[in-house]
Amino acid sequence: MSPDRNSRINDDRGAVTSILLFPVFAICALLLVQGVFWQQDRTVAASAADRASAAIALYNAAPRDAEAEAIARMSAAGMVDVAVSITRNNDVTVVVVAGTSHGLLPFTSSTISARSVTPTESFVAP
Amino acid sequence: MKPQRTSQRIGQRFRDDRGNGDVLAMIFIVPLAFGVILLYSFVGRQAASVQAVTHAADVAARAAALAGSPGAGQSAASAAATNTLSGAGTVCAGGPAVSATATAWAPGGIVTVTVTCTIETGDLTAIAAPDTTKTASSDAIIDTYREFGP
Repeated sequence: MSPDRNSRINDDRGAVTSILLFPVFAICALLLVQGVFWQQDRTVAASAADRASAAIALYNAAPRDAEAEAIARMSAAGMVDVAVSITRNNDVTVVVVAGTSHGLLPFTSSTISARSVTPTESFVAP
Repeated sequence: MKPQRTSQRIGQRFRDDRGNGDVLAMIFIVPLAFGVILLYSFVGRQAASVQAVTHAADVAARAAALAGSPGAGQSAASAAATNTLSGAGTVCAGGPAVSATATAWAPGGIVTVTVTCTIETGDLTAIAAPDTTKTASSDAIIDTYREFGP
């Protein structure tokens, strides 16, 4: 083997491509997939909050039932540590839901929250 | 074959192009990664806005159906949609456009409310994100057995 060819094989330029960039690409791909899941969880959380606030404000549902329904919907979507906060007064009903969405990679779990406001419906004397 | 001199080997090491791909890759990958993140933000905002506008239309239709006249119905629908959207954190450029119509403003009539919201994307100019308009309609029936009148 010629000295020139030997030196080309022995030097390590270009090795960073396989050592560094491939894991970076893999992590980026997983983060993109995780982003889709995160977006899906946000949609589920917003939907749960909307349904809960509408049920309470428009149809006089019991806050406990609305809270249980919101927790069930978010848990079914895979979220854990779901918390629901309901505030109702004569003007508006505010529902805030929050839950933890698991990540595909370690230490990438994130908290998802959504807030919904619905004007409270009440009897108005004619 | 004559052995190469040290200076010749060093010269060849500097002239060959192995490793240059890494630099080129980083030059393309870093802006691309930021672009993808912004694109994700854009798409996510659209999805959240659709949800918020749909809910606002539902709430506004119900509010309009409880009002006693076309004017009051329009006002109630506008107020309900505006409060609901702002409460959910959805920002509409110029505020939401709300229209309330009814087959009849009388018990049994059906009120249709349409909410239109132009989603602001001013903070996503790096990917030339266009302003998008989301529209949602919802119907509500005016209760048959109710007091109706001024």
